[in-house]
Amino acid sequence: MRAGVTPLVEVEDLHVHFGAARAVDGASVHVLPGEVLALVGESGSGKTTLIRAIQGLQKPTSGTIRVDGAGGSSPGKVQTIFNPSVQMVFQDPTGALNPRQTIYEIVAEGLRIKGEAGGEAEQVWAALSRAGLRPPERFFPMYPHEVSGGQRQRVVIAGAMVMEPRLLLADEPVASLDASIRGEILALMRRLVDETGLAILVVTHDLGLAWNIADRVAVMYLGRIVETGPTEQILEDPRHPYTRALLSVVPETREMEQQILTGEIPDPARIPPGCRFHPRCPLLQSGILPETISSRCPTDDPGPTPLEAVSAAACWAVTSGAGPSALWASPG
Amino acid sequence: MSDSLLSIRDLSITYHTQGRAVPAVRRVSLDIEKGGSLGLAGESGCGKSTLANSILRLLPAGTEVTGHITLDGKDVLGLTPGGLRAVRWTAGAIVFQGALHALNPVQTVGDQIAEPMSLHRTVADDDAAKVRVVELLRRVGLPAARAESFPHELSGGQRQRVLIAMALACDPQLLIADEPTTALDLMVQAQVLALLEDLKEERDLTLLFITHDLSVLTYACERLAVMYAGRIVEEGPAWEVFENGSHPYTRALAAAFPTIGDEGSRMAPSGLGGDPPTPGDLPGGCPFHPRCPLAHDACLPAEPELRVSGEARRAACVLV
Amino acid sequence: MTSIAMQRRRATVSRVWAQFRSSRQGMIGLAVLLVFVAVALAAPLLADVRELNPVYARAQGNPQWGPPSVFPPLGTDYIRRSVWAQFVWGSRVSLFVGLAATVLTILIGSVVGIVAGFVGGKVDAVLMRVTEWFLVIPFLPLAIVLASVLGRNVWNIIFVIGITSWPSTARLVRAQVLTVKQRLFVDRARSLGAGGGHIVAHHILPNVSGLILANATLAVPISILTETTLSFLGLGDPTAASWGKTLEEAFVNGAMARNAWWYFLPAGLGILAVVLAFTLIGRTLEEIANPRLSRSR
Ligand SMILES: Nc1ncnc2c1ncn2[C@@H]1O[C@H](COP(=O)(O)OP(=O)(O)OP(=O)(O)O)[C@@H](O)[C@H]1O
Ligand SMILES: Nc1ncnc2c1ncn2[C@@H]1O[C@H](COP(=O)(O)OP(=O)(O)OP(=O)(O)O)[C@@H](O)[C@H]1O
Ligand code: SF4
Ligand code: SF4
Ligand SMILES: [Mg+2]
Ligand SMILES: [Mg+2]
Repeated sequence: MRAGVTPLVEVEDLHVHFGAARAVDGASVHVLPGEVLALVGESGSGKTTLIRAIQGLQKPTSGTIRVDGAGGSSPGKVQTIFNPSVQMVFQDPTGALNPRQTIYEIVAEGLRIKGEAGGEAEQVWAALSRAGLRPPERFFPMYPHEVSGGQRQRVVIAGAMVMEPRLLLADEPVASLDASIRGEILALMRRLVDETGLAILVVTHDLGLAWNIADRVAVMYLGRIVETGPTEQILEDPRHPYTRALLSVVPETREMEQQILTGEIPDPARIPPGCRFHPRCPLLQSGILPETISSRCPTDDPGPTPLEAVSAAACWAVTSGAGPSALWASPG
Repeated sequence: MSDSLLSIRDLSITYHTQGRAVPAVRRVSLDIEKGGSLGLAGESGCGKSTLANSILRLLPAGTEVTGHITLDGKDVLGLTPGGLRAVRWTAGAIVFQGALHALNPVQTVGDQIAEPMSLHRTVADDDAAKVRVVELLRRVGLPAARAESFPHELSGGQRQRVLIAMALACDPQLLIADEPTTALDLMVQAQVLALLEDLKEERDLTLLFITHDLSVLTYACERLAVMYAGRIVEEGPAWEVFENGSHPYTRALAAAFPTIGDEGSRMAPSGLGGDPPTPGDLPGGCPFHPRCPLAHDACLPAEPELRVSGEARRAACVLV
Repeated sequence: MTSIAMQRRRATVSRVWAQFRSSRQGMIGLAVLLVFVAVALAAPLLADVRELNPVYARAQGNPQWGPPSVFPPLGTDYIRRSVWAQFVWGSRVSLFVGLAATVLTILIGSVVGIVAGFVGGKVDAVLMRVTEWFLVIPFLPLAIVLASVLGRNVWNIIFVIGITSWPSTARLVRAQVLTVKQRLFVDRARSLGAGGGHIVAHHILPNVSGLILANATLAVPISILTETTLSFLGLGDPTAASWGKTLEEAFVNGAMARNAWWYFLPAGLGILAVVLAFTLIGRTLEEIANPRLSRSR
């Protein structure tokens, strides 16, 4: 953790269970003011559940969520609080917009709830324009179904930014945007972070997005953070075998040999014992690990990455100091 | 091309809303041969979904459609309701954009996958349908137990795979996939792309693949078409178009996705400047000219038509 | 900027009207209904209210059981009253009771349905238990008990109909609220800090109002029929000349045996026509509110 900086949000040992499914299972992350943390991971790894818990939309089973140093709950005791300085951009813009509201009403809604009377029209105009919906007045009277999918997501972003949040939780914010707008929105998000100290926790499967705007990356697997570190390190020299596999399937990095993970689809209701990645781990399967490590993988849990961690990987091959880079380099 | 499965000629589609005409697709012609694959790229609002939906006539009532669409030898725009029902699902099936939206929240996904099968009587009875559902789920990489799940119990990616399974239910010849990997993480995207590739080979499936992610299309499709403001502005073999676009817009699209490790794009997302065009209020001449870095006087008098820009390549730019 | 919203609302209304106008069944229903509403409103112009009074009728020298040929336009009944006057004034009572009871039904049903669906949990369980209880208790005995306990006047009839027919509305509305509540835009509103009231007013209600309106139009004929049934069983308001009461009196006094068709036919056809009109309108509105029934293809 950067010395002397109080994190804007701290999530410690968070558990969110749906019956037997442990969607979030001991995740710890922190976000500092003015930084962008990218949370990446496979579908169903619990990313959305994690940020919904931060937003207060999902009751945690246990764990602590501290926003802005306050309003937290003690471990074990759970409470969710609404905090207007945390806003969310949703994964599915079509569902996130009320089909009976005009775009103007949608963007103005937060202002009205906050009870801000003055300058509503100007703020809505500015927010739409900033989100790339120009000219804004053309969009004022339209209903969500009358604009394209990408335009819808920009309405969602405008509706969140009009609240002037300190932390933006963005769930795949540009996945439905086309390439040209993608750059503009990412640039906008980065600019807001640099200029106003806004922090962003962005959930994405787009590692290029992380490369474009994120200061740090956290990799989630089956409800837990398995690797975290500065963006350059995670994307250029990943240590956890899962992160390596992820990187290998980025369409833009086809030079790398693809490791499409097969085996059983990870199911949060049946988290494997030991290292939760071991049934699919290419490093373990390659047989190049020394016996001392490979024997631990199926039985001993390497544990979650700690809350304060700036750089960590939950993998025996890494923590035992076997020198993962050396291992990967060996032809396998 | 005589062995085209899908052939579109001079297709124009205009929405009418609040007394305003929205020309979403303008004089588009394209072909996909049997077993071929075409990737359709382009910016949000350029008309990709409109074009895709028109192939199975899924546009809202009151939308003006002119031109010709021939799917599997049938004139889609002239079909009777009965003929249309037969074409939907069996000749062509579509995976809609927006997975969450297309699924019924109060029905198990297994039942929803089985629905088109019993509707089109492609299975003998309920038991046969169940067997087929399990097979389809496995085909798209979901455990059989997921048949009993309700949509809200699945993550976004899992839902997208259910939609693909549903589209495959009646063994269509043409699969239209509208942003099928957009909501998916990398690993599943890679799996789905591999899956689509397998299906293409195994069953001679013809693919129309829509997404804004040019790199994905390049990986998944043989040919690539780039749309701008309702028109196709470039078409050709996927890799050639991606790596060496003839149209300035194609080049801008290709540059939008950074190469990891490239210091130039670190903390510097690059996008195309300017505003996306408003259908119905397009700039005169080449509609791309207000945003085109190469625009000059020759671009203004008329909208450039597609012309040959290489072997099996076409582009609509005066510089070609 | 509310003017923009108003403008769009108006546009929505005119769009619905345009859709409605293009539906033949809807327009037929509306035309029939308008005729009856006009008759009800213009009752004082169409028939002298004193014609309902047997003393006045006798003083006028009306015949007893006079067929239409003897006493135009619709003949007289067993105590010399004009059947036309009963038909005209009866339309007022029947329509009023039908509409008022529907308002009550829809009000109770919507409030219960929305609260149960939106709040959920224990409140939902309790409300649904109550709803089921109301659904299973046989309607007629309850109505009879209530009518005899409360006394026989128009307001009590309305109350009885309302209190016994809301459960099906409540169940329908609750089901719709449950699906709307799961939509992401409700989560979005929560993230913006919206409370339950705001969410219900701005997100739930607009998305169930179409269903409620359609349901209301379909509840009117049921209310009218219920009023008829109660009156027919002699539980109606003895002072209000509703169509149901006309039918009851005709039946009790042997109009059938006398073949005095002119006595019961107008009221019977009136009920049939109004019920049909509301059903046609309701069906049309339902199709507009639920585009899956009508749109695309
Ligand atoms: N309400 C719920 N009830 C039961 N299980 C749930 C519920 N919500 C989520 N889950 C399960 O929890 C796991 C995590 O889901 P979540 O939506 O957080 O994943 P995600 O990482 O956001 O995936 P994606 O990238 O596909 O959006 C999934 O296995 C999902 O099936
Ligand atoms: N039902 C409709 N009524 C009026 N206009 C519409 C309707 N549907 C789409 N449009 C307009 O038509 C144009 C094309 O929309 P379409 O959905 O085909 O775009 P798209 O290329 O699929 O975009 P995206 O990548 O965002 O999904 C857009 O300008 C949109 O606003
Ligand atoms: S601990 Fe073992 S199984 Fe787990 S990721 Fe590391 S090497 Fe693979
Ligand atoms: S015609 Fe001119 S404006 Fe259009 S793309 Fe070519 S160079 Fe650019
Ligand atoms: Mg998610
Ligand atoms: Mg689209």
